[in-house]
Amino acid sequence: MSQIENRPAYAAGPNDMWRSLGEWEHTPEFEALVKKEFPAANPDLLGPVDRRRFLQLIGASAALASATSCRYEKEELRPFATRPEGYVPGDRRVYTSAFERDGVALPLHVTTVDGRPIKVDGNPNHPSSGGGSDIQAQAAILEFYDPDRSRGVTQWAEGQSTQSTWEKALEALKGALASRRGDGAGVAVLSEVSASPALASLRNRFQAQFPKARWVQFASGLAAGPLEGARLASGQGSEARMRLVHHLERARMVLTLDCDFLAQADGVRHRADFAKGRRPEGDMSRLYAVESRYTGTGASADHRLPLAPSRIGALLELLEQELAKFGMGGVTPASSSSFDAETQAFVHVLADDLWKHRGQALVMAGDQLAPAVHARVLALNERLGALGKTLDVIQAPAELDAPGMSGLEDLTGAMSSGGVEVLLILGGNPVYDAPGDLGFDEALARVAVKAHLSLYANETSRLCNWHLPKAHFLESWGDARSFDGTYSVVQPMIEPLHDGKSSLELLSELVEEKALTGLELVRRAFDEVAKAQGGGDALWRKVLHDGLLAGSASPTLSIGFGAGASAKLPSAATGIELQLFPCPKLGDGRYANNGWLQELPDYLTKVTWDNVLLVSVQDSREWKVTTGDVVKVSAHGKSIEAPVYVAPGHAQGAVSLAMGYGRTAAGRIGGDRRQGVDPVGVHVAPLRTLAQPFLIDGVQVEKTGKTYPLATTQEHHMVDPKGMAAREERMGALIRTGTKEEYDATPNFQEDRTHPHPPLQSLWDSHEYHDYKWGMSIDLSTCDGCNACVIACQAENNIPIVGKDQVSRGREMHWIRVDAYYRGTPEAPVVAHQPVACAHCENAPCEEVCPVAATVHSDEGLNDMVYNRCVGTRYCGNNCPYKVRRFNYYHYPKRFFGHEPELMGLGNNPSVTVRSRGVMEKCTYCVQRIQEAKIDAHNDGRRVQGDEVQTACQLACPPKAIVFGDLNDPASMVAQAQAGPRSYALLEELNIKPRTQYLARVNNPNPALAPAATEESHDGHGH
Amino acid sequence: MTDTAIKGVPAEDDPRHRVPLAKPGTTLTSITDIVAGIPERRATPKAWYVAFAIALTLLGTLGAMIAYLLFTGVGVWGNNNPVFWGWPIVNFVFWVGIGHAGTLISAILFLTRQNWRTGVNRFAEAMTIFAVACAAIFPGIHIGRVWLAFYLFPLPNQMQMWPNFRSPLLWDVFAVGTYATVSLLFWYMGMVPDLATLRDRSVHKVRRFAYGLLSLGWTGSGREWSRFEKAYLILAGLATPLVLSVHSVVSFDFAVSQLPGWHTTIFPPYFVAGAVFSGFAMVVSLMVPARQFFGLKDLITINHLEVMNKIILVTGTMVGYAYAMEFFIAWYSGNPYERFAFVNRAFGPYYWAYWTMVSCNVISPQIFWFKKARRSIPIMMVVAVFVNIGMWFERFVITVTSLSRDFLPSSWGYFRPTAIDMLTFAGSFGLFFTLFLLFCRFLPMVAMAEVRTMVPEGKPSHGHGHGGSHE
Repeated sequence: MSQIENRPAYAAGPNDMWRSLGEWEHTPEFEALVKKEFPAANPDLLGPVDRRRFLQLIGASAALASATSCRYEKEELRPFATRPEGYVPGDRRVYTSAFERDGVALPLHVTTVDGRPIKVDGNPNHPSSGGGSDIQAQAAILEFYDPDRSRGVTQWAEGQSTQSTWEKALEALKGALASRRGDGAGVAVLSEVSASPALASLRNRFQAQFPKARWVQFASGLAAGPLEGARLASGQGSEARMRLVHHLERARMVLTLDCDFLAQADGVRHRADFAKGRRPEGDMSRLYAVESRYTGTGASADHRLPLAPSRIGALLELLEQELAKFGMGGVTPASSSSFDAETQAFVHVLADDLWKHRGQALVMAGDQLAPAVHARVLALNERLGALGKTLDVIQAPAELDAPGMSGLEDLTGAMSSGGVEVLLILGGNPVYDAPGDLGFDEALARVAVKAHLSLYANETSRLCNWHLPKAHFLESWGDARSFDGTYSVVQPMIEPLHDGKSSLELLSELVEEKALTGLELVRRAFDEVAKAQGGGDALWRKVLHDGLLAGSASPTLSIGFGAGASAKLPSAATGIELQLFPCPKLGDGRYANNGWLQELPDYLTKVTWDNVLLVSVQDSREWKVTTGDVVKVSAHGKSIEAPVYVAPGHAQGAVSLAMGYGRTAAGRIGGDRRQGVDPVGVHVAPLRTLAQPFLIDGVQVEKTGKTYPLATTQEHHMVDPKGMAAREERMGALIRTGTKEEYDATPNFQEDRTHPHPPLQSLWDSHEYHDYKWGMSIDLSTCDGCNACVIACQAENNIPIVGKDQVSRGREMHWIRVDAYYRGTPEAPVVAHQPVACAHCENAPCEEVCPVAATVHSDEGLNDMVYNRCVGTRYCGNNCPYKVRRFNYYHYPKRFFGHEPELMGLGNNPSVTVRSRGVMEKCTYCVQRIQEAKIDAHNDGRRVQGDEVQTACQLACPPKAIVFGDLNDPASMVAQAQAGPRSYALLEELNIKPRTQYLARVNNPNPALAPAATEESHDGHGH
Repeated sequence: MTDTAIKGVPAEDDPRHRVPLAKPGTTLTSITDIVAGIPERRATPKAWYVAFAIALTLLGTLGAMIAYLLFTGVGVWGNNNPVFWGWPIVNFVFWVGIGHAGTLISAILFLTRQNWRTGVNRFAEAMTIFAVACAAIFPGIHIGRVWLAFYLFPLPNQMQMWPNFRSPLLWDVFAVGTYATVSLLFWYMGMVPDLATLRDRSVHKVRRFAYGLLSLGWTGSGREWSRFEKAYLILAGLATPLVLSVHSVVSFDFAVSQLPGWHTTIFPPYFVAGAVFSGFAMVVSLMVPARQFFGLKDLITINHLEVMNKIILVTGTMVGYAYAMEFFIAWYSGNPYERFAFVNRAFGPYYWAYWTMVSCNVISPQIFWFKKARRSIPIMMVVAVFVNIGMWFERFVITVTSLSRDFLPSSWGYFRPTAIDMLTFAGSFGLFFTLFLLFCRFLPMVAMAEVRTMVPEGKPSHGHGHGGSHE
């Protein structure tokens, strides 16, 4: 009783509930007990997940659910004693967040189940996404649960690590900084490129405390060209911050100059916007692509001209001359062009088209091109009336430094001269991805105190004293700006799995009197950013809910680019040119340990688990090399060895190689020398220089006589002439293609593209569907082969990766694949993409032949796969004409993550069975989503709406080429698409009646250019 | 019967004279002594031990490969997507095909009164049983989850789930199962009188007990013989359709699917002809060394071998016709996928397999148009081995080339076998030869009771001209 009387001030209010006297008293012992019982703030996942951990995770979900809906401003996570209102265990919750890469955020919707993030999608309310997403965003889930992520603070010396703690690391760092506070000489921070206002605010505080400290932003894949070109063209100084926003949905005539706008920053928006002009039912835009390597943009183009990067300038000049003929001013007459007659004709037609569509035309230059080319292109855009219409110039976010190598160059100089004693590296991996001639690692060796905050103990960590585990964006608070500057908040979905801290939290420890939590830091930055909108709790909650702060986009600038017209173009390169480009899958290498991305077939070559030197067909003949040959690529005294891939449509005189491979400390997927895992692919850094980080000239390519096996999912190169002829013959019927002219004349032109066949009859009565009848439609006009559907499906359906050896045996497991076919000459072919997944045939050949009835037809028309029943005869796979069935030849989920199944299991979708070895699997039309929708509809006492169920691939698809729904609802998108004249069934002559149908591809070529590809499709099938 | 020789025809080719089915001078006793003498031999020949050791090693390899497979997964083989069926199915069809000769010889030739069969039928039937045993392994281990293989059988269960009766694989289960059962019964029942002979001649207790057990108390009374002959006839009648049905059903595995190159109505007769072809080739390649080795030349004469070579020639030519007809129909059908499947077979990446098949199966047996070749031991051995190789390749060509390139060029692939594939196939020969060597050592290799009817004094119509019947 005395204790009760002696208890401190009320811990629980008079109206609060309490469970024990201890709680009521709120004694320190009780506090300790609570802490011991529920150590939720510091979960340790090193061991397997036990019951308690599982409960914690459930608790985390509940607490976060409330944190994000902001009913309770609490960050502590405890299992709940009573279930919060509205929370259903196992139910999905969706939160907004954002995924920032190189200073540009992709706004997200993250799905969590019981507190575990399991799926990432684009935020449909945000213009930068519109609901679509990309492969890297989709693959973030795998990265989040990656067992190779670092588990704690480590100290490194001579390549060996010892475990340490945050306390010790912070003590060391604070100690090193303490004496320099107020001055900051010898202190430097090397940060990832980020437009986070919260980070910028901490940076300001840091620089206030350490005025002489350097703060450098660096991203290996970012080129300086666009901004420098804009400065040049606008005549503004080096302080000018500009960003170009292209509006493809407003453009009728687009020219790209070595510009893969579909894969750029803001590529998701570009893909969605571009697709708006590619549906033949409305007005169609026309895209001319002049480029070196065959990009996704080139594949979507109506006309494509292969051209080495250094000749782009000359082509631009020729274009200006041609435009001058049509009356465009500001062009200095030039002497005759070095291009052949065919190219000149191409440019003439192009100029005509651009000029006719003034105000709706747009010219885009690739980031890697020289500033002068950008300046000339901007001036051209101005004269074509693009400014303010198809092209906006906005203020670049103030948080971003100008991209380029100069900051890192200065810092490295200071480091090697001993001018840096304390170096804090926030994210990134400069030891791996800095240009080879910079000597970053030697310079790093001269720094006394160096700490690296990173998701992985990577190449850079291993040369620092301290590796600090970084919290993943799915487990920490943060903020970011999308391409147009709109502010979004990055929300945590769960407590950090591995004791990580975000950059914000780490900096706060170093610069604040009392470290603030991530939430406090972000909220502080938000209050600053949202001042104009009024700020406040209500707005904060709205921003969390919507995923964006409306009205926070950067202001549009009105700038003239007239000065660009006279920018002096660089002279053409001598010798062979090498183009280095950030890998569309691995970026600059930061996603190298992501198995989904490594195993994703390249959008065109279908190569997995490697980067390849793309060589034109002409050059390969001259050099007598073929796909799989290893060549030595040398430039300015350095060389690397890389396998060749003979790439149809690649520009002669140039070769291309993706960055991001050859990691030596990525992890068990991407390569880790310490663990004996060989690097995946070839590292490009030796060839990169500060002067030529992307386009390198004077390159020599020599044969080595060695060969290297490549694992491709579609064997373009191994096909003999007979097979090629058959492929050519079939293509017209498989990917039915026509022109806009043809479509306007005969909308059902696709019906002529198939083989004549006898009337189709079936042995069986057809099924009847009284309730739902699910179906899918895929628009080949708008599909650009981005692969987002493939990774989205992998994330949704717990699809394992199998490894390079298995891919080379043809055992990849992707439920949806994107077929790519070339048409035309190898020198300048046209490419068409076709996503193929199980088509849920009415007369399903697989159902006929399964001896144990493991694949059966549902009463809603799904071709169900019963894993429990499947014994693995694989007969269904043989009989499937689309070959979309995938067999578990081994227990694949265990292959790469077998050492930590519990951790990897957390990332699985709990609604989808993880398949064992020996069973067949395939696309289910996301049956779990159908079932969830049906349950919801049943609870509401209604029917599932025609468009209510969205499959994972459909959601991820930026151009919305995939639609899914109920064919029994004539108003549904899919029913309307399938009723349209463009809709056809792949291999319809087999009478299998697939539920997935395709919409014929329609291009919009200029008749003046006599497009080879469309001619092809006309007589692809003699009738 | 006249003894006038026909001009230009050697006496042994005179169709009016039946070639003696046992060497002249063979008597009822000598038959028994020759045949029963083999299992009764005291000292097992060294060569048998050597052969048995090799066979056992291979059998051990098979066991090891299967164990490895079960613990690791079907991925140890070269199967991929699109070639979901690889060597295991090729091997299955190969072995089932080999298992055709025995029952054909014992049943169909029995019903058609081809008396020359008596010398070789036991041997061929044994080979059938062992080949079917080898064949049965492959579909079993081929499936992804072997431990659930019983799902393939129509067993009553709590799920009230039946197998899918529309699936040819299920028909296969029944067809091969029935064939194996009937073949085994036919072989065993035919052996009962001979086992009784061995029992009666046994001096060793264990042997007497074992043979006594196996011979089911056979006494050789007239009533027993009468029932035996009736039962044998009934079983022969039952087995006859099975000879045709089993490989027809196996061919349905392919023909019922819709894969270009598989979806062909010619498959059932073509498969049966091919099966008989390969079965006879296997009998010849086993019988030649066996008769040499165990001194059975008096009972299995060169005439027997010649007759079998004639069948090889006939069935080989039928198979050749089928190959040609497949091409013709592929062209005539106008189906571009079908056309491509066959062009691809002959001229695509697997051309080597196709032309191996054609050379072995169609070209090599043509030498049997010459009588000298038909009666030459070295030539028939070479041809028989070629035919076995060719028939394995035929199944490879059908299974793998069709699968590797079907409708969508994007999913085309190329099949490469693994070492496990090869060792498993080699191991199946271990099982076959182990059983076969045990059979040679312990069981009557020639049907003594039947051959006895072939010598003059054993014929019911003794002294009344040629020919004879069992009744």
